[in-house]
Amino acid sequence: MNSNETYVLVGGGYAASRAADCLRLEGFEGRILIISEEEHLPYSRPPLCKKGLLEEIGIERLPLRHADFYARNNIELMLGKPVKTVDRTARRVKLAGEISIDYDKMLLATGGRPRRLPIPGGDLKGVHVIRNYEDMTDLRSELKPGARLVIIGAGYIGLESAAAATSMGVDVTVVELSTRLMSRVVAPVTSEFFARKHLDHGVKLMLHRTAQSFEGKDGRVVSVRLQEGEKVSADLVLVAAGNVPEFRLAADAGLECEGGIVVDDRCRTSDPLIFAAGDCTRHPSVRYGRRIQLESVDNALEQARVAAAAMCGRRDRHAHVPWFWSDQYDLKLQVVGLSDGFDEIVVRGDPDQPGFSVWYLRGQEVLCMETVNNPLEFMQAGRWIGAHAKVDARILRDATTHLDDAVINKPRHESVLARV
Amino acid sequence: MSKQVGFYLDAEACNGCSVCLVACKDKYDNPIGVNFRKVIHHTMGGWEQDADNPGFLAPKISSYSLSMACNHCETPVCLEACPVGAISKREEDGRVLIDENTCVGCRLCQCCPYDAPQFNESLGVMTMCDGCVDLEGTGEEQACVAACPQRALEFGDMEELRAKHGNAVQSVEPLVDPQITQPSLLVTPHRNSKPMGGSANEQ
Ligand SMILES: Cc1cc2nc3c(=O)[nH]c(=O)nc-3n(C[C@H](O)[C@H](O)[C@H](O)COP(=O)(O)OP(=O)(O)OC[C@H]3O[C@@H](n4cnc5c(N)ncnc54)[C@H](O)[C@@H]3O)c2cc1C
Repeated sequence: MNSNETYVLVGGGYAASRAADCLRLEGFEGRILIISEEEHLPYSRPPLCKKGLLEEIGIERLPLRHADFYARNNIELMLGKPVKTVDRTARRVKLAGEISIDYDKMLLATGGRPRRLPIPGGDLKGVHVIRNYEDMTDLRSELKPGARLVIIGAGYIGLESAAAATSMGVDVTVVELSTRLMSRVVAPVTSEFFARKHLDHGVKLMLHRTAQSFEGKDGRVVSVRLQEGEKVSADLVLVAAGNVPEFRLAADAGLECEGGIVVDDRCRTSDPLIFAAGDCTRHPSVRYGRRIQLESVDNALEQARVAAAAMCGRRDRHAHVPWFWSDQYDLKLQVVGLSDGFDEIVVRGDPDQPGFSVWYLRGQEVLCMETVNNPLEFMQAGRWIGAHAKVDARILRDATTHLDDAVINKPRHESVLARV
Repeated sequence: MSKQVGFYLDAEACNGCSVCLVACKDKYDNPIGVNFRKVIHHTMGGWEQDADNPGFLAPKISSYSLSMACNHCETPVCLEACPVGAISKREEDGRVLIDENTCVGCRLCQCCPYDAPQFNESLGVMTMCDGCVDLEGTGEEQACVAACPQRALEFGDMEELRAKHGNAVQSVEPLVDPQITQPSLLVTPHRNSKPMGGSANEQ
């Protein structure tokens, strides 16, 4: 199939790697070329703020697929080569050093970059972010027992880093704008549960505070000044204030962008030969009826699958139920679905103990569910959400009942999670 | 150290017939493309100076086969990559097992350098060699081990396998550096193969 064509995949993360894999599974026989600015084979990012801070993990333990996989599938990799420009008329990408490569179709999978705070002092030594392997080794080299680390942002990455650092004996303070942890992604009960765990482990939480500036001495950060007037001493700062999609290439090339590369439910951009997947996109959600931007491994993998199908001219839609996870201490938070539009929250189990779950309902339909250390209920929730199952909130709320008894319309049993 | 089970392969004896693969596939009733066990045919060599005819080059080509399944590694990367905690390493014998009830089928465990986890499309989950855990305590041999006409495969306690096969190594070409995952694997190298790090051709 299209064996004379060249498909160029820009970016070396989850989306590019999975798209290459799926293009071969779709039967594409032409040339596949992954071009990444990073020097490494596409690798796993979640460990960078978890286990990777606790112990030395060599990059050779992190590849998403080993070199042999790319060789077997005849997938070429150009590593350490940022793409500089895209010429859509000539169908050509330009790299540094006057290298140019012609494409027949292209996938943009450029991911995102950590948000830098628009406040003074961001470039002082000791102020870190984590997006790639080198960021992690830089931060780890400075994490010493007793060092004072201030983390800006109580999202997944901030809190996972806090958990790792405090376990190493680092003195950790988390500064968060909102009044609770992970406020964008979990319910208040879950925020409280995690707040207690972090406090138990000695993490200091400063909620409802805004960082105003990083103050330095001899070029190195020594404290964080808050708008509320407090000053927090710091030997190290980690800015974990979210990500910004990387879509400069697309914007420069005149593709439609809106805080990310705009794609349709088949991952097509405004240019019929260019597709996009992963953190860099904004996509319509078939399920949720609006344009969303998700920054997750699951989304990158799923969009890559859909994009590969579209590149091969096959119709497949990005309609699956998104899921997320976060590992903090020995707690695994799992979220499935999006809670938008819920009108009732049901808590099942004791919210003081791992194992509880939080269900978001609209009418009686399950929209979203989050749970801690309860993978079986997570799986069940995913199936129900996919099947638009309705539940009886009274039964659901009573943890002594069997979960299956809560469902009202017995849904067809279908697997809706990341099917590739 | 607690007990660790694993496979031993006599690569001198393995002739690549793939009966092990078929026996395994049959036992687990795996669909096309899903193979818990694989046989790698490794070919190496090239032109070399011909000692008998100075100044001439002669083709020195050789090959051997390696039968591979899950190596129930001591530091498995699949387990770490699994976002939902569906992969575990069993305390009592070090088996690496996938829980099909909690697997979401995201395929991230395909980071395994031995290509052990296999996606079963119809089940929507990953599946893998479990060292025939169902046979535990029966005294029966693993399906692949029992089927091998060359008696090239063994499965058991790594300590015992190491004691029995003193000359065996943890990895040979073209397998990856064993430091990455510490596979519970012992191979008596084929006479033409080199342990990791060099190829027969480089000598
Ligand atoms: C520390 C950390 C922990 C995380 N933990 C989790 C988690 O627990 N669960 C979860 O679901 N998600 C997690 N995420 C998010 C997840 O890693 C991302 O959603 C995922 O990596 C997105 O994949 P992607 O392929 O879209 O982008 P990326 O993985 O970011 O890959 C993009 C690649 O493109 C390259 N690139 C960019 N521009 C160019 C260019 N012009 N030319 C060439 N190459 C270019 C980049 O260098 C990068 O290699 C985490 C992220 C981080 C940073």
